Amino acid sequence: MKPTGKALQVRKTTEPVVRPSIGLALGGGGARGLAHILMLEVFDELGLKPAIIAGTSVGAIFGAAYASGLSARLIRAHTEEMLGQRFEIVRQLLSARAEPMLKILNILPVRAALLKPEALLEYLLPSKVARDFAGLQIPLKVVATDFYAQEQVVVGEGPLRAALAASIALPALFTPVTIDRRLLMDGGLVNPLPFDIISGEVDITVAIDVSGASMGPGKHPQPSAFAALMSSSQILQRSIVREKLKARQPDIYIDVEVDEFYVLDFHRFKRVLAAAAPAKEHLKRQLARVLSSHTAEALPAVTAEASARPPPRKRRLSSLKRLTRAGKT
Amino acid sequence: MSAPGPRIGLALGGGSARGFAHVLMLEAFDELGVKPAVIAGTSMGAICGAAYAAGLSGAELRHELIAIFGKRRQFLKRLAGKLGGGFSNLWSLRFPSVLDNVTLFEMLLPDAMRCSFDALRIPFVAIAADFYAIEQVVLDRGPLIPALAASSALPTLARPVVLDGRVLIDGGYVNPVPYDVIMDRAEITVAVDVTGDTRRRPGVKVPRTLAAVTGATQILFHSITREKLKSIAPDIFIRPEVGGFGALDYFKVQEIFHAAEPAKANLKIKLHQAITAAS
Repeated sequence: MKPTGKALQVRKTTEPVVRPSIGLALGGGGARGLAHILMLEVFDELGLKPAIIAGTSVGAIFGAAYASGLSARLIRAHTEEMLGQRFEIVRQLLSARAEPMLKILNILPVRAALLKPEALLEYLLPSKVARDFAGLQIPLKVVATDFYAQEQVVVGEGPLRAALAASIALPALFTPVTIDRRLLMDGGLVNPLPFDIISGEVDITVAIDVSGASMGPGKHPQPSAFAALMSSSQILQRSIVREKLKARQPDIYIDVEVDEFYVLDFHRFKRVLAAAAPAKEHLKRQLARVLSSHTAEALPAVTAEASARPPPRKRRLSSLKRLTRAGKT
Repeated sequence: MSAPGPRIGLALGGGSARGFAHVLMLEAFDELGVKPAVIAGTSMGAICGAAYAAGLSGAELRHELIAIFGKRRQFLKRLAGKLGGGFSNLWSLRFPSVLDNVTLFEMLLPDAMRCSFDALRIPFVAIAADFYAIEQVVLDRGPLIPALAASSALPTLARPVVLDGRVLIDGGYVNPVPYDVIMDRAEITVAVDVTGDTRRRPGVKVPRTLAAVTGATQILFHSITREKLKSIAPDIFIRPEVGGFGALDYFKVQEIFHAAEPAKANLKIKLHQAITAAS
C-alpha cells in the first residue's frame, strides 16, 4: 500500500476525495479463469475503474475485454453465449483437444497439428475488443513466455490479439506465437499471477489467483495419467505463485476456490461461476475496506468509525498465510 | 565421528537426465575430502543424493550410471525383458498407471540403496509433492526406494506413489531445488540446480510438440526456483551447463557428465572458499 510519487502529487494538488489508483492482476488458470468475470463485476458494482490491468493467459483475455470498455455484464453474457448451446462447435473444439493431446504423448513423433490461438480468439472475442493496445480505455499488460530464453515477456503495445494469443498458447494445445522474433507461449509458465509488473505504478494492487486451491491431503482416488497431466501444470503454476508470495504480496489477494475444475472445463461455466461466488463477495469487502482506509488517510478529518476499523491487511493475510504455510510442511 | 569445520547442507535438484550432473558435484565433495552433514534431494537429485548418503562415492555412482545407461541397447533389452511387453505400453495414457517407479527402481538401483532412511550414513530427505493437497511432503523415514520413487514420479511418465494414504508425485512440482528445507541444519548450504537452460539460444523455430511440452515443464520448474531465490538464497548456488539436454536424454549420460565439468570445478573453488571463510 505504498503510494507512488505520482499519486502523492495528485493528492497535494486536488481535492481530498481523490481515490487511490488500483492495479488489477488477473491470473492464468484455464477454465478456472472464468471466475475473473465475477471479479470484474465487483469493479462495476462498486463503480471503480482500475488504473491498469495485467493479465496472464485467460486473465489477459478477460482483462483485454474489460480494458476495451465492455462491462462485466456484457462480458458474462458473451462468454455464456460462446460456451453455451449455440456455439456447440466451440465446446467441441476445446474438448476435442484432449484427444489429440493423448495421442501426442502416446506416440512421440507427432507433428504440431495444433490449434492456432489467433484463429480461436478471432472467433471468440467480441468485436468491440480493441484491435490494438492503443485503442484500450484502460492500459493493459499481457504476460507471455519466451520459450527459448525461458523468461517473461510483457506486451503492452501493438496488435492486441497477437499478444493475447501468445499469452494463452499452452503447449500441446496451441501453436506458439512469434512476436518481435521471439517464440512466445503461455505466460503462466513464468508468471501465473502478474501483480508484480504493475504494483509499482499504483497505490493498491489487487491480484486474482485462479491457479487453484488444493483438495486437501487424505484419501483420494489415484488420478488417471491424463488427469495427472492436466493437473500437473496447474500444480506447477500454484508453486510459482506460492514462492512469489513469499517475497512480495499484493495489497488484496483473492484466492478463488475453484479447485475441482480441470484446465479445460470451459463447458462448466455456470458451476465455475457458482464456485467463485464467495470470492466475489470477499473481493468486494476487501476493496471497500482498503478504499475506506485509504480515503481516511487522504481526508484531513478522520471519522471515529473509520479509525476504529481494523487495519485492512488482516483478512487478506490470513488467506495468504494459508497458502504460504502449505509450502513449509 | 564428528567432522571438524562448518556443517554443510547439500541440496540436489530435479531435472531427470540432466540430474546426472549431480554425480560430479558429489565427486567434488569427495575430492575436497568434505562430507555433507545433511542432503536433500528432489527427483533425480534425490536418487543421486540417496546413493551418496548410502555410502556410494561420486566415482562409484558414475560407474553405476554408466553401467545402467551407457549402452542403450542393453538397457532396453533389460527393461523390455522385465516388462514383458512392447515399449509403447510404457507410454500409454489410457491406463491409470504409466511406469511403475517402485518396480523400476527395485530393478535398477544398487543393493546399497535397498535400506531405510535411518540406515543411511548421511542424514537425507527426499522431496515429493502431494498431488491433491498441492503441497510439499518431506520424506525422511521408512524404506528408501518407495520414497525415491515418489520423489521422481513425473506425471505422464511414472505412476504416482501412494505413501501413508497420500498420492505423491515428483517433488519438482513444488520444490525443484530443495535447499530451503535444510538451511536450518547447516552453516553452509549448497544448492545444485539443473532446471535451467543456461544456453539461452534465442530463436523462433517452432518446437515439436513433445519438445514444447517438456520445454514448458522445464520453464515451470525454473520459474519456481527463480521466485524462491527472491525470498531465500543458499550460500552456494551451482547451475551446471546441462540445460541443452532433454529431460529424457538418459543415454547421453557421458555427455552430461562432460558438460558438468566446469560446474564441478566452480563448486570446488566456492566450497573451499566458504569453508576457509567459516573456519
